[in-house]
Amino acid sequence: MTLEELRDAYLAAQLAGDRRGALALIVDEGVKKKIPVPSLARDVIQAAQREIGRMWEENRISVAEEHMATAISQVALAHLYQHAAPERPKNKKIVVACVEGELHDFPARLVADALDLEGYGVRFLGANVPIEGLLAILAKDTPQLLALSVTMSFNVGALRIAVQRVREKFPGLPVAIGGHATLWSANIGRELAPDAIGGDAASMVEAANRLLDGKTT
Amino acid sequence: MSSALEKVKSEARALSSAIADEMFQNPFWEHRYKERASKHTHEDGLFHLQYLEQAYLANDVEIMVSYARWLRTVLVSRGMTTRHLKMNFAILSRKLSDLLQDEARNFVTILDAGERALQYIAGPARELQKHAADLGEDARRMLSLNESSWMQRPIGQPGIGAFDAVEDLLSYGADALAANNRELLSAYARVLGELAEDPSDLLAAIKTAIERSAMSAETKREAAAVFERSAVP
Repeated sequence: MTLEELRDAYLAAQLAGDRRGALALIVDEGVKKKIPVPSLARDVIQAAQREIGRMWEENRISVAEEHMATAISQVALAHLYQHAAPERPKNKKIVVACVEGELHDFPARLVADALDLEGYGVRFLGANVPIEGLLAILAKDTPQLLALSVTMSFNVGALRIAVQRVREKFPGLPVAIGGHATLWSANIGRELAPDAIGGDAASMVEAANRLLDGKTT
Repeated sequence: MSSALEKVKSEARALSSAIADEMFQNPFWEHRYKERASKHTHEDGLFHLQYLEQAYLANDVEIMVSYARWLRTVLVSRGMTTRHLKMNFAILSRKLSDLLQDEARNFVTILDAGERALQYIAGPARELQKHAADLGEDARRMLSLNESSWMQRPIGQPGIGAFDAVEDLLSYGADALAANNRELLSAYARVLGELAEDPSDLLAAIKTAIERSAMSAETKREAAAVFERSAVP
């Protein structure tokens, strides 16, 4: 089965609400056929999610079907993670969080998993992280990098506040931003001047390696 | 935060209600969407303002451009047409100008960019949009000459007067061409028949206007076919 065929079969299982079938495809046609885990995450699960998003936009599936499909992908990612062999630990911590108000945590989840498999110690805070909560975690965990995710453009205001408050309190902490909203405006990158802008999980891993190369805890 | 933006944020609900009040003069909304009409129209109005705010703060019209195109896909697939979204933006522009006077300039620039972004980029859909004003005028002229009952209705009646009905059909036609989905126009023609009267005269007049227009042969062929096959049986 090619990757495209696997993606299509996985998508069909999602739309049928067939969680076991979707997981079986990932394991039997993916992991057992030695397809690298990052490729399965990106080219099967993430690609299928993009198609799910497009299908909702075009009113080919309902909100409930979209949620069902996304829930299956959350389980599939967790399952895939168990089969992955991470790189040697780098002894560096990265906090990954969606800004306050941002409910779409799937892209950030992909980034967190990819960074984890790269050998980083990742604290994934998930969706809609209140700024005060984020600052408290950063004070407690003292990571070497913070990655903030924003999908919907109307949450960019929360991104601005988060970047400003983090820089005030932790001036030496590199901040990376990513998510669909950063693609809708190049000016956001120019305005906030983050240490990195990650378009996807692979580019965020690349950015982390670049920013943290040679740095130790 | 600028005082202009503060005023926009404080008046968000009133602005959203103002859009809804004008749009709802067209009976299409309640007929087609029933109790969801009011809720979704108000929500959409607030979303427009949220994206407008972000485009303003980032000094980047591309945020509104991307939003407009994305939202058009969502709305057209749910029975609305590009013209409805353009009207939303135009009403909001006008209300912001009333509210802010000279300070509205940047917001209006952003909304104008959003409206322009709703022009299809290429192909028969773009060409039909580009010629819509002339096609509409020609179609209404024919309807008058043929003494169509549509011309007996108050021409300016929102949604179901001859002016809006022809403009909306042309907009649905462009959307149908862009999506390669004739049902987008057919479905609206049926609704128009339920709301007002049989739109066959309108569809025929638009088809004739298309056939004798200065558009390319390809566009004329495809657009005429869409309007012919959308005729209510």
